[in-house]
Amino acid sequence: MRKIVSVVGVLSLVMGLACTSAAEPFDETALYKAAKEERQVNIYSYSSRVFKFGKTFEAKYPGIKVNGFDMDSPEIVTKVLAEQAAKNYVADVIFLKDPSTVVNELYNKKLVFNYVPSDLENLIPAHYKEPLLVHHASVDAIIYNNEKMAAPPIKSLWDMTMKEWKGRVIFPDPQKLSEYIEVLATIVQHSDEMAADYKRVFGQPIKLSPGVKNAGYEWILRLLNNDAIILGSTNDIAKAVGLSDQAQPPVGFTAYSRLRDKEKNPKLKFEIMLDVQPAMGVSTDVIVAIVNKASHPNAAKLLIRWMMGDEKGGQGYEPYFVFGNFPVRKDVSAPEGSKNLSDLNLWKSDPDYVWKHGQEVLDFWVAHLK
Amino acid sequence: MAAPIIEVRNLTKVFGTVVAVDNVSFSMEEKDFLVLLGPSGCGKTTVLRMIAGLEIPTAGEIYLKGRLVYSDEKGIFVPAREREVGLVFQSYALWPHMTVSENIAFGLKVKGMKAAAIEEKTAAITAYMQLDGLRNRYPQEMSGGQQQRVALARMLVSQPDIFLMDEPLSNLDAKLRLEMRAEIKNLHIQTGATTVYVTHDQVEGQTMASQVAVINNGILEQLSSPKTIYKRPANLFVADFIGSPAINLIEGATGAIDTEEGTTVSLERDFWKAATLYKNIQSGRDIIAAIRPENIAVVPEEGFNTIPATVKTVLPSGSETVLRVNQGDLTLSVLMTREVELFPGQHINLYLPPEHLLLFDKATGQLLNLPEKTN
Amino acid sequence: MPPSAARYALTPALGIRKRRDIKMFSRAKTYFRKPHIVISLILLVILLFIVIVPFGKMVKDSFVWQFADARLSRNSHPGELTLFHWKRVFAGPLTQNILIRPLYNSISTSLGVSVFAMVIGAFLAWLVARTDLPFKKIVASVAVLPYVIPSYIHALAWLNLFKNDRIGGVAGVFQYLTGISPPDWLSYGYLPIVATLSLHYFPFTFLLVSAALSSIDSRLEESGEILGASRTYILRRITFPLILPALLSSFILTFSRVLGTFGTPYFLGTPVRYYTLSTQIYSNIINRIPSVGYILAFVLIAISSTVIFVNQRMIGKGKSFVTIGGKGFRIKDMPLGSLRYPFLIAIIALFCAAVVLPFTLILWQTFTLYPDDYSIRHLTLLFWTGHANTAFAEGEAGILRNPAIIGAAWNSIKLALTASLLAGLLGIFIGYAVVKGRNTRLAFSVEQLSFLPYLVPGIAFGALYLALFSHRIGPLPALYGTFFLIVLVCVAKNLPFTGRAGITSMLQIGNELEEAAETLGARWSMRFRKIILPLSLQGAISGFILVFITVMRELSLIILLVTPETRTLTTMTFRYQEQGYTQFSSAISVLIIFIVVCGEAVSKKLEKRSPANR
Repeated sequence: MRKIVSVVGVLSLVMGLACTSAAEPFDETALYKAAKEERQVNIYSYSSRVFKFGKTFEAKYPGIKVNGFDMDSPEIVTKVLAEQAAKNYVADVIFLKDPSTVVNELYNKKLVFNYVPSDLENLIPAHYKEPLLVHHASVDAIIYNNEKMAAPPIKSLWDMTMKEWKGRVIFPDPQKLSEYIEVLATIVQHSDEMAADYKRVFGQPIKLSPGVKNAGYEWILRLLNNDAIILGSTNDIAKAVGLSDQAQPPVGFTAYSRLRDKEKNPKLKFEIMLDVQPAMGVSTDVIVAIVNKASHPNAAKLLIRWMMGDEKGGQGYEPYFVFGNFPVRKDVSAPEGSKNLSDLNLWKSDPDYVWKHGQEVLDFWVAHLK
Repeated sequence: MAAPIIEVRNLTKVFGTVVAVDNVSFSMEEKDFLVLLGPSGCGKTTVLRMIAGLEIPTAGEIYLKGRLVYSDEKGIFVPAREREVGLVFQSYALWPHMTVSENIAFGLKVKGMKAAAIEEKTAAITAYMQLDGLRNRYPQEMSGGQQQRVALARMLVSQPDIFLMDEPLSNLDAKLRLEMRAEIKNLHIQTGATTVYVTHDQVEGQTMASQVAVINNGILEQLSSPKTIYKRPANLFVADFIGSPAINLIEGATGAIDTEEGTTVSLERDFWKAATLYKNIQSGRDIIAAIRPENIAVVPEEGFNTIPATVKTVLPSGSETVLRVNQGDLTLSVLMTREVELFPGQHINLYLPPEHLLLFDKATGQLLNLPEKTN
Repeated sequence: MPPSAARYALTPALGIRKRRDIKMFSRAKTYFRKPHIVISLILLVILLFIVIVPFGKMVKDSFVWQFADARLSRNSHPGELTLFHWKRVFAGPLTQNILIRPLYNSISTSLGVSVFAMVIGAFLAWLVARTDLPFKKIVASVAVLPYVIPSYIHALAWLNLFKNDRIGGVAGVFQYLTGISPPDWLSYGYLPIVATLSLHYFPFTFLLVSAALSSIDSRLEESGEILGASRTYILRRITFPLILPALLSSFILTFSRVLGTFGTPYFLGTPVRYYTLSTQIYSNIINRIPSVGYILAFVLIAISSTVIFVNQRMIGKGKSFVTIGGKGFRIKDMPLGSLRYPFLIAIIALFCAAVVLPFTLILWQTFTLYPDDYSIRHLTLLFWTGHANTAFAEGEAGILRNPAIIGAAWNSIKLALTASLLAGLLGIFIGYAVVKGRNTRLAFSVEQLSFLPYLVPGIAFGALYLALFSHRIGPLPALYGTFFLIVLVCVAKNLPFTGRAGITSMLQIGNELEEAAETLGARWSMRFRKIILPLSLQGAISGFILVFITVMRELSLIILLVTPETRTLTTMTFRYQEQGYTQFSSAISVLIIFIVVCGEAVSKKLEKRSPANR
């Protein structure tokens, strides 16, 4: 029986894929009918907010249960690889950061498939649909304590390597939080801009340390040598920077979306620094995709469609309609008070570059830890 | 003739490179009480454990009640639980988590006996062993002697035809040991079970055994009645091991004395010689003579077979007195069963009765053969 | 005899051969007659699957290019042999920072923790087992609590006391009271790691040593006293040598355990860039460079093995003490005299530091409306009992009303119970096989193999199981996604605990106790059930408790193996921490502690009722 279901599943998945390319109208009723027979859908999510859109989905589509399961992005990849090897297809949908790994380790090996709801084809820019659908963009940026400091204290990434910030910059540990490998790699990728900005700040061209390849690496080296503090949790960084009543609070890199921590904890007083040269942060694509031979393909599609929300944001997208997460739909803008992604001076992480150079950058970081 | 109850043939046990038991053979008839006697570590316990089936021999054969229970040649090994022997351990091996009754009843439960029958038998044996008031005690709540009784009761209740006992009394104090000795001997008489009893205490061995096997370094040195072991030890080891105070050993050489019956042999040493009952042994041979302390007499005058000596110490102990005397560089023990009025430094004469002088070959340590009639 | 002799004479060659065959056959037959041999062989088959195969994979993978290695080298060819990973660890530009410095840190913290934990645990055990210390029973029953409290809570408590403002946020109580900012060495790195982990792990030593002490007949000590030996002389020359095996095995257990510990060293070490080898293993495995992680794990295994080897040299082979004979024994208390109350006060202080303080902290956290706001005004029960779908906590229900948490709690309990029961039972069998087969190669391999998983850090072991059991191996179907696989990995990882406990308790049961039953005609199954099992139960229960606690708190070992249906409480805490809801994660920790304490109380009850405890 199970076999038949999965065969049907595969068939409908293949048909589904065919449909998207044909850009047919999205038939919600038919999909719901098919999904209802599957009764449930399993989603591996990098974000615990899976439970929120899961709940609203269950309310909207009674009869389909969402089994959300949250873990770190690298763990999701490891698990999906194992499940595919075991032919034990637990996950239907994966929802995670680290696009370079997802594309190279899963998509290129045909272990996950792209699904773009047909009615959204024209509402999402091409680079957010290929090779895999992007749910939203997530930004990592620098925060400061706005209780103690009236204005953002940092104007350039290079400021953080100066003496006055010695021992007062916090950077997330890329050895533990893989998304910060992306941040570092992206800075290295943009080494020319880093070099130019160095010249702007210091008035002279950068002199690279022996053995250092470019200005991006040089920045990492100087940050480390400036007694940067390494912490293993972005939540702790938000607290370290943002807790009130500090004499000399540090600044730190963290997830932009940490801003919502302030709602949970009124003692947190921090803000994002928007005017940092050459870039105020790095944006990463958060990917949502259907797993190869998923047991509940129709429910998976319906769930992805729900997650993508509507033109006002919508209930399904609502958990991500916050500061620091940026919608990919052309018809949805960032929440009120937040700038749109395109208005921010950001670097977008390049999955291909991160795949090829991320480890090299991490190695550089590890080798220069003192 | 019926088959022996226990027969051991060429039994050998090797642990790694150590030969613990070396080619031991013996057999036992019904109602025999065999004591395996020897210093600690001599292999006597290993022999017992091999009979019990707790140790797998390296070679040889064991028959119990005519049944072959071990043979390396034939590839037979019957495990302990199928041998139906009763074993009492040195440590008693009472189960600390069971009461006296439970300890005793265990063997019956194993046999699948009905509860009522178990109860009846347990009650009978506890009464017999005078353990009535202790039935619900745990072993650690009892004295050593009581624990010993429980261990015996546990063995007895299964009514085995063969008792194996591994130094059962060594953990008891002297007085209790005497009591239990008598009790075990009594048990043996009442049950008629063939018993193998391991001890390193030669007095215990002598008093209880019908047969004594002296074992040293894994080798069966002598197997005889306690009397023979005592009077005619097969070799110097046995002679020296048995008896307290230890037998007197006198190094010397043989000499010839011609008599009517032929040539008798004398013990010759530095300045004296003593006649023996030995005959026709080559003169001038190196020997070691042995005489038990109680066989030496103190006599007032010099005479036949006497030697002069000086009293070194007098050790009276109740009914007995042990004298330590010097004769040249030789020190001898003399055991006297009457009171003596002797003091250290006193010169005395010792009489060595020829019939009690045993001669051993110095090179081999073996007893030289005495003429038949003296036996 | 003559006829057969004649036959041999006629066909000598055949005869001799036949005789030799019979001999070999009979040897084999008697060999398998010994139950401990059969048990050893069965154990070896089990260990083949849960230890040898994973270990073999570890070795193999370290020499093979993995797919994700494409990130490391342009020359990678997935599936082909390479020395790349070994070179990367031992002779690359990273060697200093992924191997040498972390290795030095790992060894020095582990040594520090093991020494302190051993001293505290052994001394406490001696006070409880052998002296007239007041409130001994209570002390004994709370002694295991520091291990029940997650070690990161100890770390958190330390920071709350001694945090300086290096890493921003709010400084600790010390600075608040004195106005002096504590130096970095007091706030982070070596000292705090050793201090907190010692407080966390001393119950290991306590459990092992008090078990050893309580089974030593104090007449052994008294006889020394009769001979006129002084008290310290008796302690040194009689008591100490008798508990030496327990002391040394607790040293090994603590040392190896700390070597593989990731959380606390990471948490307290990172702010001053104090990394240990376990950090590197974790990071490489999570980053899908398992080959490097495995090689670093080999380094850990090598260190632990060396320590164990030295240890065994110190104990001396076969120098073990049978302390439960068939005779009863008794224990006499040594009077402490005027030191009774000073010792009690010291113990109370110890428990304040190791239990009361961290537990109060974590409990308080569950009632705080805002994280890190400990004021009484802002206390609430909402994180425990709040309803779902309110504006509060983004619509999350309090953990006692949250079906996902309750489901996970049941999973945790189910997992901890089955794993500890299975591991406990296997431990008794291991103890039996090892002790009865003393000095044989078979017993030795069972002992060593069963200990091996302990030396592999949890995350590496989990990764191995994930990689291995997602395929079918021989008769075993692919186990990934099953509850059984998680039980299996927990059993394998904790076997060393129960195996050690099994060996220790079996060592104390004299051989004659089983032999007595054997001569009375009892089959092995009966001897096991009626004699060995009841007598080893007390020792086994302490192993069982340790495993139960460990599994209840297990995270890194199982994180890669759980699926939505099989997730446990610990895997849920992660989510709340990430979300910034310390209250929820603390509440789950409190729930875990509560379950563990209940579990301990129940097993203590069982222990009391166990017949061996009379």
